[in-house]
Order: sequence, then structure tokens, then C-alpha cells
Amino acid sequence: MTFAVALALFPALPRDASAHGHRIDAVLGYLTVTTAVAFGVMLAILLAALALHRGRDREAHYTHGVRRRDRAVAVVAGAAVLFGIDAVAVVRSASALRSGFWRYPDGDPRAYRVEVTAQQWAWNFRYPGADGVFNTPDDIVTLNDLRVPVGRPVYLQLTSKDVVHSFYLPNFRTKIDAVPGTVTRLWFEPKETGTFEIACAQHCGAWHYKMRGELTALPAEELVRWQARAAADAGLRYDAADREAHDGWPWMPAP
Amino acid sequence: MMGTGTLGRAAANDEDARATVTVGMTVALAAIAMTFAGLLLAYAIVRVQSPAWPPPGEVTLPALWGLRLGATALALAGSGAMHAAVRAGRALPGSPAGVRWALGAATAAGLAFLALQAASLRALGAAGVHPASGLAASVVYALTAFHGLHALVAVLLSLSLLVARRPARPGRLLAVVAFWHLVTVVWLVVFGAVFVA
Amino acid sequence: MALDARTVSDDDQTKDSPGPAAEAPGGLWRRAVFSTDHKVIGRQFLWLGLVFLAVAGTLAMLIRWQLAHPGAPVPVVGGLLFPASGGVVSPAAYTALFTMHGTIMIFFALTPILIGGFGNFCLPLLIGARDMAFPVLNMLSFWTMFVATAILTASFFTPLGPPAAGWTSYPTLSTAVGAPGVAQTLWVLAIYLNGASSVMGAVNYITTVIRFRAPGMTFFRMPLTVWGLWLASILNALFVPVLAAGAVLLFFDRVFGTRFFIAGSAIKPGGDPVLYQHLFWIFGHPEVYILILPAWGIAGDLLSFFSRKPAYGYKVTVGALIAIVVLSGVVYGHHMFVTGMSPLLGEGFMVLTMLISVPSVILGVGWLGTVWRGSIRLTTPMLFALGLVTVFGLGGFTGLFLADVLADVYLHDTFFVVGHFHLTMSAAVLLGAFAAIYFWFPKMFGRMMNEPLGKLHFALTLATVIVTFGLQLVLGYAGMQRRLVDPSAYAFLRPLMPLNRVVSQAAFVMGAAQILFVVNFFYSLFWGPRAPANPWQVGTLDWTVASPPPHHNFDQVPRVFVGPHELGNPAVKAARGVDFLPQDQEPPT
Repeated sequence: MTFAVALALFPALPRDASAHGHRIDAVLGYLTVTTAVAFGVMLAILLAALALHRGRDREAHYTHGVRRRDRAVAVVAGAAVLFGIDAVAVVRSASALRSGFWRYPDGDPRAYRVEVTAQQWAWNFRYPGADGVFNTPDDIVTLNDLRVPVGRPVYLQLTSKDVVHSFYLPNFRTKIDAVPGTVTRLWFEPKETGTFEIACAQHCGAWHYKMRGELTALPAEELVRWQARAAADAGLRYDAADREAHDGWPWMPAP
Repeated sequence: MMGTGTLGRAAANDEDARATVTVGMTVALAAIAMTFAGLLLAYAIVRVQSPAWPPPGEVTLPALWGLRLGATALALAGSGAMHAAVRAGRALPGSPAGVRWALGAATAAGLAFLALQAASLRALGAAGVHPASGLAASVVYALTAFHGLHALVAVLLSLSLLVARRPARPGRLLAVVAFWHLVTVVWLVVFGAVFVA
Repeated sequence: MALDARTVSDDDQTKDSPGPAAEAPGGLWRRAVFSTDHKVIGRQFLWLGLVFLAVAGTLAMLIRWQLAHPGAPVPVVGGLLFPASGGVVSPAAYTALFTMHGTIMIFFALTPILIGGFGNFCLPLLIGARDMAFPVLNMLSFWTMFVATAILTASFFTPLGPPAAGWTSYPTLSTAVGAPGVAQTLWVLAIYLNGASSVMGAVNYITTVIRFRAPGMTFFRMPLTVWGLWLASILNALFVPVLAAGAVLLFFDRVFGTRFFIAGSAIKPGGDPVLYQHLFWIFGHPEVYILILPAWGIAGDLLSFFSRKPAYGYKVTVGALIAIVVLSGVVYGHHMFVTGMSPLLGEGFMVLTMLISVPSVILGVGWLGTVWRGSIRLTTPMLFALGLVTVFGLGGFTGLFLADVLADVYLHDTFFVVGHFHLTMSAAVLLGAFAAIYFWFPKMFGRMMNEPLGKLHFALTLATVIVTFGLQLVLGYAGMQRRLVDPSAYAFLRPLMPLNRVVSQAAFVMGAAQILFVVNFFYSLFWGPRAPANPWQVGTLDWTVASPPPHHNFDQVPRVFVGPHELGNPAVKAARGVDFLPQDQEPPT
């Protein structure tokens, strides 16, 4: 990949609507530039060899490549990649994971909690409602419609009813599998309002491509208004006898 | 042994052939052992992830100690007989009769082992435990059946040596015996991990 | 490990062995169908692999058509292949297409060609042996592969449709929950038998290299091709059985109702679908190295041969290959970063995976050092070897993105992954397969392939490979997921549809370019100029015998004196008048 392509790739990333997505973008950018340089060096040497050392009339330089200088070349090249690319990427990524993506807002009272049940081929979202407890009659349950507040951590717990799906938010640079029989977790923080797409990123059957949801990030007052409307509907729709519809679970504590 | 082998052609003598078979059997046994290792890894993972074993809510499995201990004893007896077969084969002058007796004993033990294993599966079924009954039942059925298939192959190999008219090529007996011992060892591990633990 | 051969007297050579047979024994069945001659078996694997390479390639063309023109009927063959949907690739058909494309490419094309085909044909010749250690086992390994292939082919024609759970066949999609019907069960059986064939082959290759090297052929005088095949066989023997374990449990779940992968619920406790992923990727990651190790070995040798100088840093290269083999066993978790694994485990796998870049760089240094200051001859095999190095470089570096957990969270299951593995695995391995075919065609079939046609095939293939799979990296970067029959279902992907069309157009040209190869292959088979014993003028033992070799390979078992890359030595040039020394000739004093 050339440097020009690397630069051109940045606009190719989906719009970043998250508070922490820029850290992924930074690592992606770093890897793009450094690997492009490394590949460029490799390609340059290869092409130079083809240009300069081709043909029957040339005498090949007889060496087995075992002298100290040859070993030094290998060591330098290996060290350049190990320390210049690998180590930097590992450190930056580990730090971003620990302080961000995999640092779940378990004790955070501001965290906005939603339970997600994936199924072939749709996303079910369950909001705890006024009592703040899941799987109670006042839960709001929507299909493919995730409404979240701007500027607050959104904390999801996920499972699946049937096969493995993967909850993917391109505009928040994150994804996590939804596995039947297990509860997985994901969190993100929207930094701007808007409607964004939710995609499925794990082959889950013929209609995998249609498993599209919508995430709407709203200012606080609008979200409250929506919740009030949705709660009224939820009360109407709740059916105590329909056990299967009560697919929520008590919010799992941090492992 | 790590020298340049058999001069790139068919073995010049029995010892060469045995050495080649030894190398080949080691690789083959390692491969088969890795399959069982994978199955046991699967068992370990589901067991560790489960809050209790058998998992809560699952049907309890009858212990069937009589059948299982009997099968284990027969497996050990079979290996013992196979070991005797090897020693008889090495004794100078060679003792084809001794080898055949030992092979016969091992084959009999192997057939009895298979019979007891089949009986244990039937007993499970009679007690209402089926492969779909739960995770613990799945483990027992899968490991018993898959191991049993390998035991069956071992018995068939032993039979093939028994009924052969011409004396077996050197190393052939060793190969069958090595496989037989692997089947026994795997059973001991499975017995310990699944039924005792 | 480098041991001196024991002294061999003429007596040893002739004692006990009957005169070497020039012709194979037996009638047509024993000679051609159930032959135990490694050269015949090698060709059988090659034919099987090439046929299924064409099948899988055709499936890829159908996939690319659908991605370029979603919902449009496939021209010419659409009505025949997809009658129920009016010639259009339906969503269900699409899932079957990518499943079978991947399954066939990995297990039924590349494995038979490189390992079954060239492994079998070349290995004994390269080490100076008359045949494999266990010729009957060898024959059985081909026919096991044949049965596996027949079962997989049958799965295309089942009532509920072909297997469609992806080549990875994750539960619970691949259990009765997501895949009712017999096709997926047939898939499991086919994979199991394919694995059994590979393990049989591994037993043979490992034993043959250890026991059957000619006198003087120490480990460090073996061609790199042999190292690649031998190390791949070690990985095959150790890790294919773990796939077998996963396949066995999946089979039991599907057929006997066991609950290993069927997820539990509050009502009925059950197993863990992710368990399968562990078993699969413990095999799956070494598998990609199994595929590329022979290609790396072949490239190392070819670059030396056609630069007319020794491989640069042969021992260090071997050390790097071994390091990669060892590391390949402990990095599999990077395929599972988004399954919810513990962060510590994720970081561990990240670090270990990144470490593989060091020996990989060493390999690259070796290749570059080999061509540098050489006397480079751009024959078709050399061009494909250089192409392999280039494409693997590109693909290999993109692996770093996926090794990095943070980047992988975004890139997992996007086309970035597809581009990465197509560049490394299929492009580099495929280019390696072509390099091997063009190189050993004279030895296998006794005729030369056409050079100009070969060069044209190379140029078109390399260019289209880089465009097709390089652009897929861009598509993945932009967030496009894998396995979507119609990406335009998502608004954020609609702007990428033109790029998808470009990728497809490049892919169509790639497919069409292979016709050049097919024409060249078959024409040369019957009417190509007869090949001399050593058309490439190189020193490995396979080129010291006739093209094709007699049944017994060597009239007399060779004695080896030098390494495989004795090229460009001025002393040799002065003494012998040519710039290379065959391995069975004593070096000039």
C-alpha cells in the first residue's frame, strides 16, 4: 500500500460518532503508515534487484549470507519491525483497551443500560423502564430501534436466541459477538446526535445481510420524551402469560 | 537413528524396517492422541465453565461401576497380552505359536471390552439417559463411542494378524501393539477424567 | 541435528536389493489407479486439486457477480444454476457459494495441489529416495481424499441445498438449529476424511525425511522445499486431529443430539458454541501455515536457482521457519477477539501473534538477499516466485492490523480480513502452486511448458490479484462486512458499490487469465517440446534423473556432497565449466 493510498483511506472510514473511536483510528493510521513504509522498502529493494542484477551476462555474487554483516541486516530488519511497528501498536492498543474499550462502566451511575437479544434476523432492545430493573412489566422493548443519550456511556449486555450474531457499530468503531447461552458486553459513548446503522458482523444465515438496526443518539430531553411515549406503549403491550417474550435477564454484575 | 536412514530404498534388513515403522507409528500415535486431546479439552472447557458437574438441572447418570471397572480391567489385560505377544515375537528362536496365543488372548479381551462398553451404553439408555439428555450425558456417550470405534479398529487389526497366513512383516506387530497400547492409555485417561473425577 | 552420513560402501548399495525395476509392476489397476508409486499418486493429487481449483474459482466468479450486480441474473449459466430464483443468486444460494468456495479452495484444491501433489512427487526425489516410507499408506491417503471429495460433491445436491454455514461452520448455525438437512453433516464427514488423508500423508512425509535421506543428505543440505513440506507435515500431524475432534463433536450434535455446542438456556442447560471456535482455530491457525510453508520453501529454492547464487542465510531461514511453526500453535485466539474473551487473554494472543512478524521479516530478508547481486533469470517459475514474495509481503503486513486487538475490534469480519487472507493464503499459495507447476512440469510430464504464454499468465494473474484483494482491504477499512449477499442493504455501504464492481471486474479478468494456463498446460502435455533431464540447470537431486524419472527414481542411490544451492561458485565454474554443482558431485578441491 502506498503512502498516498494510506492518506486516501482515512476518508474511507465511516464517520466517527464516538468519544473513543479516535483511538482506534489513530492505531489504524499508525499501522497503515508504518506497514506502507516497510512494504515500500521491501518492494524498492526487490525492484532494484530486478533492474540492476538481471541477465545472463551478469556474474552472480557467490555468498551464503552467513557473514556477520549479513546477520546484522537480519537483526536490524527484525528489530525495526518489532520495535517500530509491533511494540508501539501493542502498547497503544493495550492502553486504549484498558482505559477505554474494555473498561466497562460497571459502577458508573450515568451509564445507560440496554439489553440486546439478537435473533435471526433482527435486534431486540430491552430498556429497563422507570423501575430500572430488567424483565419487569415496565420494560420498553423495541425491534431494531436503539435510542441512546448523547454524552453518556451506553452499556449493552447481549445474547442471542438462536445462532451467533455480532453487534457491529461502524460509526463507533466497535463490535461484540452475541452468543446464545452467554451474555457478552459492549460499551460506547456517543459524542454527537444522529441516526447511525447497526450491522450484524457474523454469518448467521441466509438473511444475515438484512439484519440492520438503527441507533439514534438523542439529547437528554428528547430521550426522556421518547421514553415516556414508549413506556405507555409498553404498558399496553405487556402480556404476563407470554413467557417467551420475557427474554430479559437480571443485569449481570462485572465478572 | 537420526542418520540418513535406509539408503533411500526399501529396508536392507528387519531392523531398518522396524526403525522406520517406529518413526511412522510415533507420528501416527501422536496424531491420534491429539484427537483425543481435543475431545478432552472440550470436556475440560465445558466442565470448568459449568457451576457444578453434572450441570444443575441435568439428569443424574448411573455410575455403572461394575461395567466400567470391568472394561478397564479388560483393557489392561488386553495390553498385557499384547506385551506378551511382543516378547514372544522377540524371543529367539522366534515363537509364532506364542505370538498367536498372545494375540488371541488380546483379541478376546478386546472383544469383551467392546461388549462391556456396548452394555454400558445400553444401560444408560435403559435408565433414560440419552445423548440429548444433557452435557454430562453427551460427554459420556461421545467419548465412549469415539474411543470404542478406535478399540474396534485395534481388535480388527489384531484379528488380521491372527488370521494371516504369511508371517507379518517386521514392524507390523509392533505397529498394531503400539496402537493397542494407545487405545488402552486413552481409555485410562478417559476413565479417570470422566468417570472418576 | 546436522549429522555426517555414515560411510557407504558399494556393497551396502547392492546388498539385499533386487535389481531396480525400470517399469512399475502389475496391470493397469495397480500401475495407474491404485499405484503405490509416489510419482503417480502425486499426479493424482495434482489432477484432483486442479479440477477443484477450477470449481472453487468458478464459485468465486459467481460471488463476485452478485457483489457487483446485486439482484441481477447471472449471465449464461444463471438459469441453469439458480432456476428457482430466475437465474439470480438468492440469499441462501450466496451463503452456499462462499461456504463451498472457501471449503474447496483450502481443503480440496490448495492442499491436494501443494502437499498431496508436489509433496508426493518431489519429496523422495529431492532427498534421494526411491519412494515414500509407506507406499501403501500413500495410496490410501489419495483414495481417502477421493472419497472425501465425492462426499463433498454429493453435498451440493441435497434436498435442502448445499452446506451454507461458512467454511468455518460455526455452531449453532452449523447445528440442527441453523442448518437442518443432510448437507452440513456430509460437509463434516468430508472434512473429517480430508483430515484423515492429510494425517496419513503427514505420517509418510515426516518418516520419509527422517529415515530415507540419501547418504550425505544431512538436514541442512535438504532443499528448502523439503523443509517447507516437512514442517507443514508436522503441523498437519499435530493440529488436523484437533479439527477432527471438533468435527466429531459437531457430527454427534447433529446426528445423535448431543449438546456440546447447543447453547443452554434457563430451561435446559447446554453447551458452548464458542467451544467449537477454540477447537476450530487451534487447528485453523496452524492450517494457514500448513498451506504456506511448502510455498515458502519452493520460493526459497526457486529464487536461488534463478538468481544463480545460494539461498541467503539458509540456516537462519530454516530457523525462522521453525520459529513460525512453534509460534503458530499459540496464537489462535486472534480469530476470537470479539467473542468476549478476557482482556488478559486477548493481550497475550496479541503479543504472541505480533511476534510472528519477526521470523517473517527474516524470511523476507533471506529472499531479498538471495536475489540481490544475483544473475537473475526471469523464467516463468521465477516470476511466480517473485510474485509470491511481493504478495506475501503485502498480505503479511496487513496481518499486523488483525493481530492488534484494538484494530481487530473494528476490522473483524470485514473485507479487510478477506483481503488479508486472500493475499497471504490464496494469492501467495496460489502463486506458489503455479511456480511449482511451471517449475516441475518438465520433470513430471517430460515436456516443457510454453514460456511466453506462461509469462503472460503471470503478468495478468499478479496484477489482478493485487487489484482484487488490495481493494478488498480498502472495502474492509471502510467497514464493509463479510458474507453479505447485498451490501447495499446498509446505507453506509452504498457508496462502496462502485468499488465492489471494480473488484469484481479485476476478479473476472483474473478468472479469464487462468484460461491461458489451462491451454498451456494441456497443449504442453501433449505437444510441448520434450524436456531434458535438467532444463533449469540446477543441482538438486530431482534434476539428476530423467524427465520423467524412471519408476525406481535413481539407478543408484546417490551420495550427497554439497547443499542444494551450490550456484555461482567461481571454483565450480572453473572446474566444471557450468555455474552449478549437482548435489551428488564432489566439490572441486
